[in-house]
Amino acid sequence: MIGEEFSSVLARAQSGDEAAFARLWLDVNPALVRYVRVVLGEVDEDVAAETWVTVVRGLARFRGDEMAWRGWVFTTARRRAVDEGRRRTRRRTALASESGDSRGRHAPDSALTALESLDTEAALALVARLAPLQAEVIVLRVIAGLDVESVARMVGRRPGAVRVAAHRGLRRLAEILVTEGVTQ
Amino acid sequence: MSEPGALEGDMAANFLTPVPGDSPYQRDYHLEVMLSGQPLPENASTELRGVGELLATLREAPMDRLESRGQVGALNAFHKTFASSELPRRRRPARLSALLGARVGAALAAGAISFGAIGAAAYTGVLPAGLQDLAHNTIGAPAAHPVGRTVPDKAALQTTGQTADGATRTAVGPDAAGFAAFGLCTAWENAKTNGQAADNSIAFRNLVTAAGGADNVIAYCAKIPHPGATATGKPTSHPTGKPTS
Repeated sequence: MIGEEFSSVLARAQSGDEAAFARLWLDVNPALVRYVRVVLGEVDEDVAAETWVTVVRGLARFRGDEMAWRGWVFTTARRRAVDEGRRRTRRRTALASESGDSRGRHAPDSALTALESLDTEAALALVARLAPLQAEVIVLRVIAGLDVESVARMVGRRPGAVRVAAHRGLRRLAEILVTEGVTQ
Repeated sequence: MSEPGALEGDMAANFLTPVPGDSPYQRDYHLEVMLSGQPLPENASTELRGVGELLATLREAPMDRLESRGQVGALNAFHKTFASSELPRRRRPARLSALLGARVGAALAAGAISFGAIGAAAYTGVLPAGLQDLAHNTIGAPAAHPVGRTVPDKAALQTTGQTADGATRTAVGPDAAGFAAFGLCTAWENAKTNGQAADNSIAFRNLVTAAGGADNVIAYCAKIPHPGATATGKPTSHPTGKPTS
C-alpha cells in the first residue's frame, strides 16, 4: 500500500506523470498477478495486461481513496479473469470431448509442491486448493488488502457470507497444513 | 486479551466448529486478525500460526520476476492514452521515455525492452532522481542521491569523469556482490532475453566479475535473494518446526 502519499501519486498519474503511474503499477501488480494465479490456477499475463489497459483508460476519471483504487483495479481484474475462465471452460470442454480429459482447474500435484517449501508459489498453490469462493475472498482480503465490504461488492455476496467463506477457507488451510505435514 | 466488540454481532452468522480448549469466539477473532494483516497474538493455536505464516508469505513476499513483467505494456498503454488525451499540457510532466533518454525511450515505446532494462538504466545511473529512488526501493538499484556522495551528472555516466570537487575518479558501478545484485541480475536476464549487447556496461562487467565469469552469471543470480526478502518483518524461523532453509 502506498499510504499517505497515495492521493498525490494518483493525482500525478492522472495528469500524465508516467513515473507516478509506474509507482501505482509496482504497488498493485504483484498482488494482481497473485490474484490471477489463484483464480485461474496459473499466471496469465494477458489477463493482467488487459486489466491495466482498462485501468489506464479510466484512470483520469477515477475518484476515490486507496481502498477504492485497489477495489477498482481488482474488480477490473476479476472481470477479465471471469472472461478468461469462461473461455478456458469452453476450450477445455471441447478438448475433453475429443480426448476424454476431465482434469480440474488445478494441477493435482500442486499440494505436493507446496509442502516442499512455503514460498510464494507454494502458498498460492495451497490457497488455490480451496473452494473457489473461499480462495478468492482470502486472496482479496489478504493480498489485495481489501475490506469485507469491498470484497462483498466484488463477488456479489453479503459481507457475512464473505466473512464466513474466509473463515472456512482459513480453517481448511489449517487442516491441510496439519494433515499434510507442513506443520506438526 | 481484549477482544473486539465489533466482531460480536457477526458471530451468529458464522458456522463455528468448536474446538476443545479453544473458544470459538477467540478462534474467529484470530481469523479476522489474520485476514486484516495483523500479527497473531501469542495465545493463538499452533495450527493458526501456520496459516498466519502462509498468509504473511502471500502478502509480504517481494515481487518475483513473473510479477515484474508487464510494466512496459502498462506504460505503453498509459503513454498512448495520455498522449492522445486532452489534458492541459502544463499539467503533464515529462514522460518516462523522455526521462530515460531518447534511445531507451524509443525502445521502451516499441516494447522492445522490459522492466529489466529500466533496471539496467537504474544501475547505470541514467534515471532521474524520482525513478532512481523507485528503482532503489523496488529492485535494489543504487539510491539517487546516496548520503555523502556527489550527485551524479553526465560525467558520472562515463567510465572516467570529474566530480564536483574537481577530483578525477573512475566510475566503479554498482556492487554486484552486494545489495545491487538482485536488480543487476534482473537487468542481465532481460538484456540477454532481448538480445541486447550489455556486456560493455560497468554494471554488467561488475556482475560478471562477481559471478566469476560470464558463464557463471546465471548460476550466480539463481542464488541471489530479493532485496526485500528480509525486510518484511516476517519471522525467519518457523514456529512449528518446519525447516527454514
